[in-house]
Amino acid sequence: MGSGATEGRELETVSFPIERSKLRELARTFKDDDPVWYDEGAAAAAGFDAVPLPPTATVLADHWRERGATFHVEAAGLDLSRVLHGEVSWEFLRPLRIGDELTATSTLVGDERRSGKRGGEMRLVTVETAYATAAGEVVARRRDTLIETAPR
Amino acid sequence: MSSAGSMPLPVAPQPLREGDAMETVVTEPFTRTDFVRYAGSGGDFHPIHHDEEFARAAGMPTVFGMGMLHAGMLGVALAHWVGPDNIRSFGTRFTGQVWPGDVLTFDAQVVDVTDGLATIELSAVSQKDEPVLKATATAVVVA
Repeated sequence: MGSGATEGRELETVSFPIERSKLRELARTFKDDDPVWYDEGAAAAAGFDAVPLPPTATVLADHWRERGATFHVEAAGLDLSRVLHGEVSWEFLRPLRIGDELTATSTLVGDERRSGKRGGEMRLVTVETAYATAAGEVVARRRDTLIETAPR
Repeated sequence: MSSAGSMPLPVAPQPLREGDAMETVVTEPFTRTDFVRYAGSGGDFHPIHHDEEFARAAGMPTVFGMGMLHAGMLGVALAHWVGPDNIRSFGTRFTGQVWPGDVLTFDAQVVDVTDGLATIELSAVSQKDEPVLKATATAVVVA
């Protein structure tokens, strides 16, 4: 892969709580009115040992980052007006729970330059984020690919 | 829409086999308000998703939805099918933008079951028949 003198560089570390109010907001945003997503009583009645989380809930980390979800754009030196989210994936090593206090560490693992379809150079940046408990147990991993399109 | 929310969220691994399909989910038309709501709940304030002038200056006809918005909606639909705690991985490639007024159709199908772990392929297609994402997930299931 790529051209990157920067590959392997840590971009940002942030600690954040998994909390109920933001999960309520997320459920509402996803237009899912099932109270199991935010209400402990409803979760218990449905048989869950705790409120379960939707698979994209690691976005809660972004509320604790100075630049939110676009933290890696500046950190990787990309032009915000040309950046598209290309891919994202998660691996879950155990279910995440309300009350978890996680530390997310993001590392730039790929930085590739390609010829754009309409000329110019596009850039593909890959960022991996590991989510760990205070005890250092990694509970989830996420991988993002950002595409910086060629200048117009 | 109660999205996939008409189905209760299952706790236990579900009896799924190769070829089984999720009940199709059709969203309401996406609005600019939906994008702003996701900015607030998901923490994505990239102006291309809420600032009309920024979006046009970036060469877009208007603002468009964060991929993480419809990926998140697809994620909760998947959770209603297989159970949120049974999902072991979820990944998506974004293949097109979601514009205000677009309606998405979510589908998912089990393509393999090996050692109690199902591999599931998911899609989101707009009313213009444009796929806006392709996703793959794995989930623990029972025979």
